[in-house]
Amino acid sequence: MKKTVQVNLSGQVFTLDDDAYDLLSGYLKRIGGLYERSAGKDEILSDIELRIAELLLERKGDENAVVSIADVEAVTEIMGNPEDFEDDEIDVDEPSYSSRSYTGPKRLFRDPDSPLIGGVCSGIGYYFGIDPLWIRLAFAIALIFFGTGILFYVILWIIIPVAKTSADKLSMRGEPVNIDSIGKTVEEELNNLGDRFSEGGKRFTDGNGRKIERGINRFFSFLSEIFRGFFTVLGKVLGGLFILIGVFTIVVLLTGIIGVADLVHLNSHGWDSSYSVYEIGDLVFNSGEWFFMAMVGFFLMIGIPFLALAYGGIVLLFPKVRVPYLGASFAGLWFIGVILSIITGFSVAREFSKEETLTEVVPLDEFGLASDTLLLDVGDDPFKISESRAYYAHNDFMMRVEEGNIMVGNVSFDIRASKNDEASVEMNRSAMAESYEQATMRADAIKYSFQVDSNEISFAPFFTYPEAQLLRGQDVELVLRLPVGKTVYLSKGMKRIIDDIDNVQNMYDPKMVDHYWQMTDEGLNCLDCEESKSTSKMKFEGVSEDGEVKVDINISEN
Amino acid sequence: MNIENSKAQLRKGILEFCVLALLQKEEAYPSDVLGSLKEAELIVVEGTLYPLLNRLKNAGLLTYRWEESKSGPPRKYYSLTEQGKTFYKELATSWEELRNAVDQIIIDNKSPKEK
Repeated sequence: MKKTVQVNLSGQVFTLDDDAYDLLSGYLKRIGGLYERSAGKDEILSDIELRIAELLLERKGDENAVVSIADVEAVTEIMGNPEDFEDDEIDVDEPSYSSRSYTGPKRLFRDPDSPLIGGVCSGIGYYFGIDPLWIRLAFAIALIFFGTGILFYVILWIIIPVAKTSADKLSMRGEPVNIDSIGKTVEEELNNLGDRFSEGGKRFTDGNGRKIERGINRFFSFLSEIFRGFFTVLGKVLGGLFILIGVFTIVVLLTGIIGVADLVHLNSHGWDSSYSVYEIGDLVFNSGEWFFMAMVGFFLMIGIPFLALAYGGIVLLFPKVRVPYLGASFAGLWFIGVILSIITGFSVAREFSKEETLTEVVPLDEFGLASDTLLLDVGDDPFKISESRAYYAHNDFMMRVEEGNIMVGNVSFDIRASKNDEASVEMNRSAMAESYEQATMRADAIKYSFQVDSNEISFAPFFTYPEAQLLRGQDVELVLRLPVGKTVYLSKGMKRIIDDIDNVQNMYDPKMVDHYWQMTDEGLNCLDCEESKSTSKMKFEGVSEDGEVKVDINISEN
Repeated sequence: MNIENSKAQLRKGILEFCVLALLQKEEAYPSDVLGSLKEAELIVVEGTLYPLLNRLKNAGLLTYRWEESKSGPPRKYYSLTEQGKTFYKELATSWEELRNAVDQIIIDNKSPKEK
């Protein structure tokens, strides 16, 4: 028993078996889909229906006979595979016959033929007419620096359509779209296809081949329906999320750049100072132009992927919305951003390539020190670091700009044995620049001072230099040279600047303050510290049968 | 290189010209045109013709009229417009030239044995 369906083909009524109907309507739908965008779609379809009606009549002789699937198969065989109709010049937009061959505009597609991952780089390469290698390199660099490469790649993957048809591939490569060139790509394609099918096709050569093929097709279209439903929902959710993330990030970036928000906080320990990107930028870059370039590069490199993300979200939510050339513009702008960032990055890096240190030795005898014991202290601290935090503030870069001068609150202080019998202060000022001459000039521009009052020396916890010298790794290191036998007292304030002073007790810097220290042949020795040497014992107990090494470690502090 | 492919390319290029040629003498309906084209092996699957006719019609080279048929659905009879006739003549001239040129090349380059 078979169900039948009545259809009207060009005014002629036919009775079709159910499966024959499925096949025929599927066939007509395929043709309709193929000429979807053609102005003559309806007419072509009705002409073809007319011809099918004729052929069916010819076959059956009688319009009342039931059309079987075999009839439909025979007729569609005569009509041919819709994809083979290949009238490549269906005018889609312009109904005029003016151009027999035209050079289509280049369009950005993903290249399905030579992808490394998704064919994005390859497609972009075609679009800009450069070797995809460079595009891939740009992505790789962006990956190393900020990791935005991955995100951007995924977004481009989503928003750039894959080149499906021959015409797509031609407009991807920018070759003129005409009969010859389409023939060329179609041929390539057929050759590829032939290779692929020569293996797989053999499976369907038995008598039931066609049926199996149809069954498989139906199964897969059923599967793809389910997947489509699932991904549509997922796509909408992701779309919303993408838009949210994209827009939020862009807003944050813009506010940062415009300077509404302070993006840079230079400290974490108890002193309060923050700078807008502009203030820091002026101190890092040689000129406003460089700074501008860096900002533009930075914004493009970071911002464009998020802009693209938001756009990707819109596309996911409203699949009909497609702005032509937007994908290409994103890719182009982002590429420019990467290049600007690299250029400005190098220009700044060059400014830090050479370092020079100026060393001055100031003998303390000149000041007529009154006694053998020196009292060491720090001067007024403009950064107002509380004593409890003084030592940890070393980790912060403390900076302030005042009256055309940059004030830096990081000074390091060490005590070492004197090479002669005189006490002296060694002052090392260093800075970086493009050349040693400039680095020397920069280092010399650093102003640092300490005061000596009878037997008390007061070191400033900061140094200054003119703002025009920019931030170029300026640094001040002090070394107090003590002859053997001399004693110093480190006041509590010294925590602020002492840095890794060698001593016999091997005491941790911040604990060294508020004690008297005498220079001996072995180094500084504490005169009034309680015995708080920590001892550690380690005893090797042998190797067990299963190869375990047994060691007894005993650390005690008394 | 695939020989069938090359043959198809050759045929496809002149298909349009042949359709115009078939219609320039007298009007015909698609089945007639298809019969001639298939006989000349210029067309393999019938479906190819319809988009082509549609395009030529949209370009103003062809026109058609309906005619009732005693045995089946109504028929669409196609004929050339004035514009189509001019177009055809031009194509015919260049076909003549092309054919002579191709013949000349083939004859001139025949291998000695064939001569």
